[in-house]
Amino acid sequence: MSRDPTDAEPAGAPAGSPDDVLRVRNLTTRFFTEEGQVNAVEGVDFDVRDGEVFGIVGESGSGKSVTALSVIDLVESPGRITDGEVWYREPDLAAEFEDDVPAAVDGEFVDVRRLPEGVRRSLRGPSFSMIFQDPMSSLNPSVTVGEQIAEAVEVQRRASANPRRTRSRTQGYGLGRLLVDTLVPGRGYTSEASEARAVELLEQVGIPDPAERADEYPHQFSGGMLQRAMVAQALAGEPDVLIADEPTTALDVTIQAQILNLLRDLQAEQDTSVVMITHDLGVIARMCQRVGVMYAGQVVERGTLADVFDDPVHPYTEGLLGSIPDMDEPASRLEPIEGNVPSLLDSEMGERCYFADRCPKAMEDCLRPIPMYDAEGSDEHETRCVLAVEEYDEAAALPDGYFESEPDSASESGSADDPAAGEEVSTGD
Amino acid sequence: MTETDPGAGSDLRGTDARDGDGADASAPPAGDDDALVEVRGLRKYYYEDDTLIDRLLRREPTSIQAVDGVDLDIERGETLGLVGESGCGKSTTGETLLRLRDATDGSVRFDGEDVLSMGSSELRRFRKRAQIVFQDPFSSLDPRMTVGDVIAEGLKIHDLPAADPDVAVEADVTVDGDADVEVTVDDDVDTAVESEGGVARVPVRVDATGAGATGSADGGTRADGGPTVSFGRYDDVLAAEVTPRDGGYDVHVSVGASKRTLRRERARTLLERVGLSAGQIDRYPHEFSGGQRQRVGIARALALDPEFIVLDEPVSALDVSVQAQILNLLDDLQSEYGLTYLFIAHDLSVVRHICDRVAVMYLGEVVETGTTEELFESPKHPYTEALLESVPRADTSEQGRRVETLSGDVPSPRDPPSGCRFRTRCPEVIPPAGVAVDQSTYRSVMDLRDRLRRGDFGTGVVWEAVGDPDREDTEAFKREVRAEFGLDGLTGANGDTVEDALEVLANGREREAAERLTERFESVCETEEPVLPDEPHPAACHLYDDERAAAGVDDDADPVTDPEFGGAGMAAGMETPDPEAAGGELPDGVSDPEHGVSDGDSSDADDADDHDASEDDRDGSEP
Repeated sequence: MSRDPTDAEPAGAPAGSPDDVLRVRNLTTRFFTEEGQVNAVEGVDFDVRDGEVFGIVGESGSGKSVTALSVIDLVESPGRITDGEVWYREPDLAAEFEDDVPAAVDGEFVDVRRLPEGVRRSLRGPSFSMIFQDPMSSLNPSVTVGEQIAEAVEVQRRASANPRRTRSRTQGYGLGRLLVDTLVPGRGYTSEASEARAVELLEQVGIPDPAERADEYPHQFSGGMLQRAMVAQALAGEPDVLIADEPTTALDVTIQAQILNLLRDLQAEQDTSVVMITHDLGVIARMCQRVGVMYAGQVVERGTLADVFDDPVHPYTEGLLGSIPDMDEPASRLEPIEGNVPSLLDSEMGERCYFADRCPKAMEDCLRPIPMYDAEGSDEHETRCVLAVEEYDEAAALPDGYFESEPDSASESGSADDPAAGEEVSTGD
Repeated sequence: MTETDPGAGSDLRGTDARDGDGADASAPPAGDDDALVEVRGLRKYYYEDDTLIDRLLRREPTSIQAVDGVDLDIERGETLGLVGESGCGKSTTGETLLRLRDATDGSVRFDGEDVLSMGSSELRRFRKRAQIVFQDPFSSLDPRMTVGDVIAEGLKIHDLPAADPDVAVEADVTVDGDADVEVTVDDDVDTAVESEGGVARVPVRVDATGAGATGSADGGTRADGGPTVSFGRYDDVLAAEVTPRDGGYDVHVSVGASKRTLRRERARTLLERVGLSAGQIDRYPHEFSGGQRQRVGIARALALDPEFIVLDEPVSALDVSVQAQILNLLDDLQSEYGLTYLFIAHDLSVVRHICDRVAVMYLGEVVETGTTEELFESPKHPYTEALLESVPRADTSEQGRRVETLSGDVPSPRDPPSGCRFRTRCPEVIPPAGVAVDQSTYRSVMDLRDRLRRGDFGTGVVWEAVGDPDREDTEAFKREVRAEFGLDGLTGANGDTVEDALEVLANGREREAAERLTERFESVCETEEPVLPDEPHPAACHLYDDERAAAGVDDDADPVTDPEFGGAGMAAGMETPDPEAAGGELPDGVSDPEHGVSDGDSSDADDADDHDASEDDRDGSEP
């Protein structure tokens, strides 16, 4: 979608660490549904550095998956990215567009969102790649696994053959070619070379007998194997940034451990940056160096793993950590967060900290939009909570039931969860 | 430990139980008064190719052994966790023991009664006492029924509420004003009033002060000119009949509402009990979030006042914060109503939190049981160890932890591995006595043997890879197979055997090659199915055979003459109470228990030793 030119913003990439490969600023995605406007992602900022695993953790409906889709520009109607910048470090691309779209270029960084549609599409695969949550429904059931991976390889192969300037490589494969290939047997999108590479990739992700498995269909694979195949497909383009959206949620723990090991090995080998999106704090702890916690479409706390896990400031982060039963030192009682995830409907959001209605430490100061504050710990530790700058004051605390008396939420606090939030429920068995 | 069943004999769960119903059904449930549910040798097979046409064509039906000989004791008031990976049969076990599925074999006793042989009226009564909460809160509630109807449906089916003759009815009478009031209560009032400890107390408040006044604010019943009678929260469902008499009144309390209203009232109470509001009773399931729906599912299970609830992954579809709310709720309900739970889950941290005892399932069998403490602190079965190891902890110390993962996937229950079902993934398979080999090489040999046994080795493919269609370069063939299976680490007698077998294989005699390998490398883990012994914290694993033998009755048994022991002795480095005693009898090369199979922790050093050991042992054990 083209940007409104009147919507002028200060040009230039935001400041950040020199290692950043991706700087996301003020990313905002809304869904325009019949029930009203859903603010799925609300001004999200984060950075991803070279060769690191950045974790995004949150519950279902917190906007973490939509954030991922927004970064790689895969949001579909009725959703729309309404604002924000995605600065991606790619000197070649920057040089290419320096003259055409000067606003989108700053040094080595390019604001992907301001590039033309075709270029954005061409970045998917070689620059950004994604592993989806449910391997069973993310692969085409009527095409063999090998061919699907070969397609991804082919895309990459044609990309390197045709420089980016000649627009997206898929456009080289138009309707005419498709018809010819369908009618003439023995002609497909994929070539023998890409199929051989697909087998190599399958082997790389630890699938036994890759040559034989490549000719099988997704239903002949087990869940863990399919997830490996998905990883192979995502790696086909040798991406700079790999976004893994709940890559192990549908898997058993022993298989999950295999996939996590695999991801870590491949990441170390290829020096890919990974954005790991999950609801499982354990997975975050095992895999990530830096973490962002999302709630109601916002990043509410971010920092290094130690900042977030050992010195959480935001009561939501604390609540999340208190909700998990500890395997090694079981407590007799869990301390869950009361209430439910809010609906994210624009009309119900209000101008306040979105967590205040569930927060055990809600104060009068929480009844305004909260900016990010620096918190104790490492330099990167920031939180969207007033507790970072002031002590909890009983006197200023909101009375019990304050939010229940709000119009619209009486006696049904949270019960109006939108069905969309429910659909994201994990399918783990 | 009540798991031990003194009257049932030590081999009950191992052998007798496998014979099925017969032995158990005839014998009264022995000893254990606390077990509410006793499962013995439960099996559930599904059959494929079992249609009429298949039978006419005399095709053998394939059985899928979803549950294969499960024994469980669930004691009153406890929570037994049943854990395992997907496809291990834990949900099938839960559903089969409630007779929601027909068992293929085995017995289930609920409070002394045999569930599997119940007639329809008995079953109906059983259903009232045993309930289930399903995993998926989205598909387990009828979308076209209001939650009130969903909760009350069970009551309706059982034509409840009905007066319970065992429940006494009493009136708590409070009289305001000065009047002599005599209260009588109908026997069936317990249908409308909650009973506690076998007594339904009816709160009756008689307001005689305003006798003659008109009406009352709280909607109580007012006899003309007489006192006002009210029942607190039961006002809607109780009715009073006031008869004036000399110097006072006779008040007769009866149920003043239809059963339908009573059921609705009950549904309201339950909704509030599970943390929803009674005002939501007329909503449809889609209006609730996942956590709220699961609360409705729990309310439905509670409606019939059950004693036993199977909780089939009740929190795995929920977000962590909501999951914690539900776990706390389940905890509260258990202590409030004295419920017994069978908690089926795959999330070990949840199990650790809520369960008193845990049974671990793998491929249709229980491989280890114990108290939660025992099982989590000192797991015995390699599978349990692997499961515990795999769980990511939400702690900074977890950062970068590398888990030694199990190889491969769970095998198909259509054709489960022989012997121990876990042996295809086990990191501690026991080599036979006298064969010293490190675990990873042993695993490689086993993989090769499995491929040969299954007949899908594909000699042709190897020749193709070698690029020798004439099949003459046997050396290249052997190199190729060695490389593919990682067999290069073998030396000494082991190396010779493999060399020998590959030579045979290169000549196309797959079966013979398999036999040669089997002769030397066959493990006790593949020949004998380990049984769950009758002891506290049992684990069905051959690693503990020697320990058991050492502690067993037959102290004089020569460990080496016992073929089972010989193999297990290899692994005894870590567990044998007295290594010297056992070691003295072992053959050369394995005399030092440290040369045995590594116990997973001390891998590298041991591997190196193993090679030495196999060199040493060449003379002694060459065929």
